[in-house]
Amino acid sequence: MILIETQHKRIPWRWIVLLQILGQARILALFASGSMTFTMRKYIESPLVINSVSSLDIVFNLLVAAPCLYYSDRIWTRFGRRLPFVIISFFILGGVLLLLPLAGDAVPMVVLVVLWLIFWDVGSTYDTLIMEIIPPEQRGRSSAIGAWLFNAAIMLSAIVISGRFDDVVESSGITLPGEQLIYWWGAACLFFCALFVGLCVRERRPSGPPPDDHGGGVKGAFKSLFAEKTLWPIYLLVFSTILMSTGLGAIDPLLMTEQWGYSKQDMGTNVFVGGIINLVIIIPLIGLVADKIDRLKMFTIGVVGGLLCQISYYVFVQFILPDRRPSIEQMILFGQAASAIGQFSGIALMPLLYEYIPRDKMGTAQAGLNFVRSITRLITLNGIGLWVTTYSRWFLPEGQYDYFSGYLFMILMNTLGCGILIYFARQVRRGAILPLGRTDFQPIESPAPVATEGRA
Amino acid sequence: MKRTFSSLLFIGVGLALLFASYSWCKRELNLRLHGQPAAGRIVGMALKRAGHTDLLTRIDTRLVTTLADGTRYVAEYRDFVLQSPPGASPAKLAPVLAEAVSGQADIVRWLLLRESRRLEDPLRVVRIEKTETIHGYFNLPLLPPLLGWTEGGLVLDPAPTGSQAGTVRIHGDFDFRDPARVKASKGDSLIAYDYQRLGTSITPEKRNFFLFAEPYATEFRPVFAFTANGQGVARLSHVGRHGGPTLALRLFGECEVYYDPRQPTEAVLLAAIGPGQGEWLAWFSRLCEGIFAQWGSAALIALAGLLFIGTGLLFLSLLLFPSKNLPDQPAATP
Repeated sequence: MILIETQHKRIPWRWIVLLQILGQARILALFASGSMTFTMRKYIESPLVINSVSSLDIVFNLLVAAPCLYYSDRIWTRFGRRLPFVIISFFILGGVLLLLPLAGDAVPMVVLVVLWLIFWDVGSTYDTLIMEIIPPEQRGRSSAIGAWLFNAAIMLSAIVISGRFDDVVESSGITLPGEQLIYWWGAACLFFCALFVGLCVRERRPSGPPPDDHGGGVKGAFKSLFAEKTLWPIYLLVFSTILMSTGLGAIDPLLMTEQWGYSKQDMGTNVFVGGIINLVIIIPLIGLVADKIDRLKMFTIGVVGGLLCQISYYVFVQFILPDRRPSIEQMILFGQAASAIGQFSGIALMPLLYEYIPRDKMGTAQAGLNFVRSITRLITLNGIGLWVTTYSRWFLPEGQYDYFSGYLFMILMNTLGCGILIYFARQVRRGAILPLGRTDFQPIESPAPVATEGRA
Repeated sequence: MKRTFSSLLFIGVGLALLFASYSWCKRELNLRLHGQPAAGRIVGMALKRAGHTDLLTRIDTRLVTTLADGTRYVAEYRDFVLQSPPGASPAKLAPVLAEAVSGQADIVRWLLLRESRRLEDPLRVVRIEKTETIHGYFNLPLLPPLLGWTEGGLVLDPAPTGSQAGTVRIHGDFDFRDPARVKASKGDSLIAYDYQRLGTSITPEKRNFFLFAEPYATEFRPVFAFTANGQGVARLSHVGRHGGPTLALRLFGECEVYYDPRQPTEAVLLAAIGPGQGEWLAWFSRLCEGIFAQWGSAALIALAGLLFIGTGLLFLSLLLFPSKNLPDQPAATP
């Protein structure tokens, strides 16, 4: 048996290793695409435009990924139902990465970036395909292998790839700029993926019928997300958490390279060392503490700590450092502190959310949460770009940008999010918002007699 | 048959990529493994633009620092090495001058910003006037990989047609004495800037010093020199960087050279990072840049090759040693 197929009860471990190699090749291509901020910066000056183009990712999540996933459940072709999306996506993404360093002008470059974002979402059926190949009982170990390889990919990308963007190497009469190297390496990874799934993966037709379309199409589905009033407080809670996790987005690398004068290799070192600290110290430590602290307390520590961390970083850089420029060590220190605190709220958030979601509305709630998350991120990403551009126009000489001023916007959003959270907590205390996920829960106390009855 | 073909296709593509990787770095790898080592130095910098190249062969820098008590000190440098007599300026100024002499405009701005926080100290620096005089060859239509090298410096003999030996003079005046004026110029302490190229005043892409005033498209290629068999050799490096000089190959810094003893002009340079001093993460970055700027491209092509070969071999192993882990086979036909 050489072809990898879907719908088996148990699969060879070598398939899992192969699928993890495939997954990491895809991730490496994604990391290579991280250099798009620098490619955009070559032609576009405004952080607002850079962040706006990047935030189209979220629009396509809604407009492309969701329909592709929806239809991949309901179609069948001679190549399968997920594979056509995946193969087309890999080939086009590979082509985009091949052409991107040759764009030469803002318009073709933006077109290629937009194509990248669209077809990455077309390929969103990839994860479903993989889950259809790996049976549930083998997913645990598969995820562990994947997590290990994922960290290796991060390290490789940080230390070897991200710093190569500006390099130029001449050999055998050929000059290879680093930008081409990075994107073409990403393209090679994607063509590897295309070849892999095209030649070696086969989908088997599922035995059951496709799920029903309950009518109303996309519009009806969208309406149903917001028709349920019991879910509104949950959406508000998620809205606040997304506000609190506002980041600089695509302009983050520009803060380090353009404003603080570090190289892209320094940036890679920052990620590499931070990643190792995260892997060796932070994650095990959080794992030890996680089960010993109450979830709500953890969430509060995460939320308040995150805000305090941002404020202290801003004050430290802006008012304590004499040249307003942190060293790489200081960046790592604050970055890791924020990451550790962020993990507190991250771990507590999902169980907390589900305490307020009625069990019979979990599917609708999940879809609604995704929608609210996407829209909020779209607003905050564009907001931060607008903020940095306006702030720089007011307070800096023409043509210069204070990307760090984005931290003010982040603090503002975090404070707003905290305010909403306090409102939510008060409503819970008053009894206006009920933990329906907990109170409505009717556990099946003894499944054994039911099974016996069934057999009888 | 199709399955065997798929496995062999992956292995074949992988081997082709490994071969491409080796071919790509064959010259450098051979010189590194079998070449004669020598101590080298980065003696110049080529700035390649669309259509023409400038070759920097020497930098004279003059720094005039003014302290809060009104004292002025003048320091003269050649190729970033102090030429003024020792003791001409207080020892406390040395770190400030060392940063300012080779640093870009932002470094000087940050220096003044740092100094401005020491309000109580009358010896804090409040103004830095930096003048760079760049000597070299300008508007070269083409730069040969081999250059002339004498103890006096880099020479192009004969200079290519259309090129011009001359100077670029850049003057930047950073003044933090009047906080109201600095505030009015939105925090920028640069009060005067002038860029003269071959005697003509021009506006560069960025208001900065020579190595930092270029647009991103300009390619910076170090020129290194070493001595082989008693003869001086200067050569254009095969690695460079867009938009500015590299971290690892510093202008007028040391480097390692490996050359072919039979043909000393065949040489490759490697970054000499040295032991870590001060900020160890900055040192680690330079080390990584030194290694991967040279070998990163070949390593990535090789890694792609190994990815294909590993996958091909795993598929082949499934063909030769089928797994017993598929109880529900044969697969249903699609």
